[in-house]
Amino acid sequence: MDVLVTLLRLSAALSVVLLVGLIYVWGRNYLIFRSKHAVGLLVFAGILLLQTTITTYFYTFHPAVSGWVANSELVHPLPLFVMSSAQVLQLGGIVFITWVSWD
Amino acid sequence: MEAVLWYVFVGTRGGENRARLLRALDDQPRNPNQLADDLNLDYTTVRHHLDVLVENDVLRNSGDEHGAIYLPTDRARTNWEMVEEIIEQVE
Repeated sequence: MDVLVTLLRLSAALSVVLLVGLIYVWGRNYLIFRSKHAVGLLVFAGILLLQTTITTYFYTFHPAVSGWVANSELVHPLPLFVMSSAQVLQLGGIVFITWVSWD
Repeated sequence: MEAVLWYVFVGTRGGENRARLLRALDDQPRNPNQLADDLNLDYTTVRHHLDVLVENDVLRNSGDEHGAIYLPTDRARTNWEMVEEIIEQVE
């Protein structure tokens, strides 16, 4: 349980950092090339950034919710496992995209 | 080809310098040393970007053993309208 909550928090927070980096690269390229492709990449990264920022805020910093999600008596393990896994997989995808885009 | 082109220039951090290299080579085929001098870039940076563009079939090497020059591929030429749209944007 503790591991799942930690994974969920860390993978969301790390995604926020990487997405800010990607938005910097793609935003700069949009300003240079004015291409619709850059807009697509920015929309994609922007929506993921919104989602990961909200996740990080609620599960790590929100005064009530952060305590609730870490309390194994209140949270069912199945949805926690599924959400945590999805967040880790999402981080994997973002790491890959960052790796190819940083070139 | 279209997807490769936009990704290699617009999707990546090094896209701006790659566009500058391609424009310089369209203007006149040159070797990596000349490109580094003319564009005021580090030699290893130029080499790296040239390798990426060759890998993606945008540029080819003239094949000479000494001082090989780089030039756009036929594939890049057939999509030249789009290439121009990209390379006209960089200073």
